Amino acid sequence: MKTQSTNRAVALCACVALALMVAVTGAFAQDDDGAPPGQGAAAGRGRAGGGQGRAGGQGRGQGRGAAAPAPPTPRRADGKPILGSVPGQPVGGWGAGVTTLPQGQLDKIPFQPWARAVYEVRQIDQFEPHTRCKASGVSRQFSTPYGTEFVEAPDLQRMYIMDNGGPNSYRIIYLDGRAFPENIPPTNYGYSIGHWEGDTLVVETRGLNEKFWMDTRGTPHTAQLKFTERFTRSDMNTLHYTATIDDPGAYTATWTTTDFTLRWRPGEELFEYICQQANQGPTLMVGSQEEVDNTRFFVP
Amino acid sequence: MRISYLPARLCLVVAAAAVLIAGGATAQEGHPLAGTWYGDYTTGQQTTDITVIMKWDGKSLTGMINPGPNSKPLTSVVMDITPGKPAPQGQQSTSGTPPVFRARFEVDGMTFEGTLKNPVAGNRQLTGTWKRGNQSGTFKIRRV
Repeated sequence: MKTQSTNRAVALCACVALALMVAVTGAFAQDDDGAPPGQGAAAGRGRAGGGQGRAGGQGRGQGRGAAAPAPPTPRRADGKPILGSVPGQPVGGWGAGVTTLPQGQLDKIPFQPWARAVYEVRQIDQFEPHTRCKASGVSRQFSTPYGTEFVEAPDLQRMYIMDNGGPNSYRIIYLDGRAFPENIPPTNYGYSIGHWEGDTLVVETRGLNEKFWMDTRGTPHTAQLKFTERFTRSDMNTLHYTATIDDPGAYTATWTTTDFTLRWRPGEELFEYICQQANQGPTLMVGSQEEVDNTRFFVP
Repeated sequence: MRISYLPARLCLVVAAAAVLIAGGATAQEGHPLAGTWYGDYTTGQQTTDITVIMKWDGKSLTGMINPGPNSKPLTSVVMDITPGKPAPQGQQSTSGTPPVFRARFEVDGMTFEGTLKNPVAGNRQLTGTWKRGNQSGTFKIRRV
């Protein structure tokens, strides 16, 4: 009798556990990757983008194959290039491209010893704030696997760079000729001011804090960082990106990245991404934050 | 009867998660030693709380303990790095051996020497030993 009773109890527990699992799975299944119906393909490409990041490559494997020559650089009435979507055409965004700023020239980067050591540790333990839904500024905006969109507001003389995925936030670039304020409260996105040099948008960002990584591989920086980006849309589908890092707190000299290429993804709109639900590295959000699961590479 | 313990445990887990998340919220990712650290050191059976603030200006480390009327400046702060071993060519980067960070700081005649635990975590720990004359003990501080 006791055995029967125990068996019943075990069976009851199993049923309850199964029901709970189904309920929980169902709840999370609604969230899936955070993308609404119809955006699954974008998410899929996003993960592929993360894979690219691990390989350290960029501009490769976009799945586009050999294509006809791209349309020319779209321009506004005043002749300036349009870096985002073109009025009258389907909106789109830029695919992930910047994954590690040293990009094949690690030994040429003028790291301070501590910064080089920190970089090496971060190759092993990817404990990136972005995986905990922290807004991550400057070049890190261009490696979110779900893409980045430029929203230009010429009348307001500013531009917004939206990073889809992760914190799902945006950076403002002021284009009204203003000067930097004297005391900028350090923030994750900093204070960005841009100007045009021919067809290239040059953006300098100051006032950055130390609460994020500049790229997915953890190239270190300090709050002394001045980060200058150069954006050149060479044709409809191609955006060239370089960055100059001026950070005496982490480097012995100013240095400039190689040229990164971002590819246009026509027809892909920003979508609602809830980082707390769709995070690919959930253990880094609510775990002990002392241990890192090294069995896989996190690029949420 | 066991089920009656669940709410209490759940509350404990939620509270612990909230504390951890809150701790991570203020975490800094720059120089491994820069920031505010909180913990304690032991003298025999006695434990004394300690707050350590360290700053990195790009060239040197400075700092103080116990900010407030009883604060004392750190007279020396040094960080030593033992190089790690990158992952072999073609293998996942996570298979490498990370560098080891050791720190030593002196304050009020005491010398603290320790090793950073998980230096990439926002709430990293520095644990080790301290000495003053023939006194000694252990210490453990965590960056907040």
